[in-house]
Amino acid sequence: MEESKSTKPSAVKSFFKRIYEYWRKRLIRSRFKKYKSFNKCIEFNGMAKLSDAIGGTYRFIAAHCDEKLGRRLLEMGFVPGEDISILTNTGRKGSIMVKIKGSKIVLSNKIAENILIKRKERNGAK
Amino acid sequence: MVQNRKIIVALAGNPNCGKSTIFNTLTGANQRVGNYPGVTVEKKEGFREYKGCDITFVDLPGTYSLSAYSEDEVVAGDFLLNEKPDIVIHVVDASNMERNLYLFTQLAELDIPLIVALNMIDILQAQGKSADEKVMSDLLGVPVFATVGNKKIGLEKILDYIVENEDFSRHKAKRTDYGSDIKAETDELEPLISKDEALKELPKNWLLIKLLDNDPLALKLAADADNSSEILAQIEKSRNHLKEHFGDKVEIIITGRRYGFANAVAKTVLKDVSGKKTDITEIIDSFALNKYLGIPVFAAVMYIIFKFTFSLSGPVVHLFGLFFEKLGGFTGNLLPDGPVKSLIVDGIIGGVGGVLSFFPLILFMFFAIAFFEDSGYMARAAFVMDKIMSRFGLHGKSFLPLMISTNGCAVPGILATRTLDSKRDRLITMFVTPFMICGAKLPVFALIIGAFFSAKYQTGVMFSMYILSVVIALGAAKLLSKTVLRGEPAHFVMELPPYHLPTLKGLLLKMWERGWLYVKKAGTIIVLASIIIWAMFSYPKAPANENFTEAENASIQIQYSVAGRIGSFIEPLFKPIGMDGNRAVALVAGFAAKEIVVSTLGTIYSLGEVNPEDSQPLREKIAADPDWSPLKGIVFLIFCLIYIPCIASVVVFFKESGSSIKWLTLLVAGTTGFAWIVSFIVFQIGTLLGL
Repeated sequence: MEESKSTKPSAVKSFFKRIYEYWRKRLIRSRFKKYKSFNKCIEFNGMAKLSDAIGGTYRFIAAHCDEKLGRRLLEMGFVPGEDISILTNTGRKGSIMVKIKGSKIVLSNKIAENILIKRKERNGAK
Repeated sequence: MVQNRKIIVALAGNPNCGKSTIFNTLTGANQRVGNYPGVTVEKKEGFREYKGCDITFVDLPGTYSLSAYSEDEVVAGDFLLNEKPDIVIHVVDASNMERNLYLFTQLAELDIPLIVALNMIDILQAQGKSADEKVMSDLLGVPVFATVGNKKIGLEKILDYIVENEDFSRHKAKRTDYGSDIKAETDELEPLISKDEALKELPKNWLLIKLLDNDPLALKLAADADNSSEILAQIEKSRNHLKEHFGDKVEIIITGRRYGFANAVAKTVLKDVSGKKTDITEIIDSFALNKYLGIPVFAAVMYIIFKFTFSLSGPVVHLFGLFFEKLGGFTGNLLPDGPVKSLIVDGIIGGVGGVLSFFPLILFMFFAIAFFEDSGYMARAAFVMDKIMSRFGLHGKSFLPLMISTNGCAVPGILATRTLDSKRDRLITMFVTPFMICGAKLPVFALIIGAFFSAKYQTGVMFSMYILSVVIALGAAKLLSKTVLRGEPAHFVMELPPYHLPTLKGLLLKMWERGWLYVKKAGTIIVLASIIIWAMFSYPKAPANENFTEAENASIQIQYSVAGRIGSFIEPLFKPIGMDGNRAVALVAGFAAKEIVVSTLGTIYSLGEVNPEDSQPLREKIAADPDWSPLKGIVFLIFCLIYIPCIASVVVFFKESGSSIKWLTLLVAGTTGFAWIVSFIVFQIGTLLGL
């Protein structure tokens, strides 16, 4: 009687633990993958897509989009060489919040996919 | 100083720079709101008499620049070029100076006298910085006035300057130096444009740089010139030359130079005074935009709006209702019995009263929404909601029309979809906007919920109805985006403005403007519909039978009237969803406007009453009626929520969807069919459960 009582909760416990472990690993894997690919991308290509960015300050290089949107981005401060800080990135299908020229701007991730950023150099060279 | 001078002043500035606050403070309530011809942009004019001068203020739409890529920018540019105001006040948000001065570089090229209102100087000080107006004025070449729009600081000085100076052209705004390469190209272009009479009239510097900049408006003007081929060829040549030279697009070079100018001015003017930095925006954002707290904060804000709308307006709504009841009773006593008395008391006063008694509710709600809009939270709410909205095939901006429609009105909601660029997003949003609980549906909800639930549960039930409306709207959006309107939501870029405390005056003006729209609607369509409905219920007259009591005669009258006949005709359709003919008639009448559901029920029950002067509130009658039950009430509400939107919304939808019969049919048939199906399911399950 005593034994059966003690084994039953442990089975439930291990079941939940397994689920928890699975999701935790998956989360870590996805985060790590993203992290790795973004940093590698910056390292090897010297630039990366804004949509993949993780927090930090980078430099804006160029946006590849139609003229209307391109003009709008320019006017909102997306001038080549400008500092761009990534505040939040809610991932694919979400949006990304950046700080550029002192104000917060929200872009949808689809637009960010067409924006290139590079690592900010210490000596401020363009 | 010349007396009785007429001066036209235009206010220009970025969105969210506090321009409207300054405009409201300068003009008071003396405003006129219209539309610019052909576009949906609001034209706001205000008047002020100051020291013997008539000053007309024009509030231009907030823009980041004057290029011709959005409707707002075209309107602002057109006004400045063609109407030639005497002077332009450029409102600059001091806490965001560089970005705001970008617009200055363009205004300066227009050759219109300019002054700068350096607004929100108090926020700048809170951030531990200070701005030197004198230095700024020297750098920009125009007078600079430090202002705090919501505390009326510095505005007198601006008015004094406008009134005391007769010739504003004394100050020349500094123009951006684009460098020798661009200068060389504009020099080549200059003789060509001076040849044309029309182009010569335009501000030269503006035209030259805009032509190089590939601006659609400037290019259109150039295309109309006599020597257009020559000019366009030269532009092409210059652009290619510059592109080769810089290795970049000319637009990027020009924008870069402009921002360079703005940056240099901002850096020189701004000084750090103290180390103490309290950026209130950052503090609030750390909660409002937090990954986990964002949505709870959003829900809390929505709940505050409900609470404010319902709890605080309660006594006022009650007073309004009492007033109309007394008015009805008073007029009833004055008039002799007969059809005229019935028309006035039951038709007109009943109908108007039913609508107007909810007017305070609507004003309170608009006030709460305006507060969150003006304080800067609404833009963030769109960001917080974006991920969720895109999951349902909607755009983050679709949130705004839904928000306006919730508690507000679906008509401005549908109009607000114009902020969406893609046709697909617009159509989906327009379809689902009427599903929200609009201000006109509120009376119906308030009536039924008030009748069947005790005060303790009312807010909770109402809240769950809101949630239901959102679920239905999002479900419908998902359905549409998977079937009829397949595709992905368009993408957006928007600025999150810094938070600031809105002024009471601005909020009241906004509240009144929107509330008045509701009354205007109530005044025309609704009263007319109320009279028609009264007539439908009163005619043809049933033959009076003296064997029956008054009450029995009245109920015979209902069955005998046009409406009663329609009701009994369609009753079989409504039986499976637990509704009798009366409610069917009320719902049919609700097509005219949703408020009319209430006034129709009122008409039905007051006609059925033994003594019409016995002023028992409608909700008590419903609560006592054996034909109703809480389940039937809820099903009635659900049907009300989903079925065909009011005539005004349908008309606006038709116009906005590009006058397409296809979408109109889908809207009318789809919503009503959907409403019936949902009501049927709820009612049948509810009956099975024995509710």
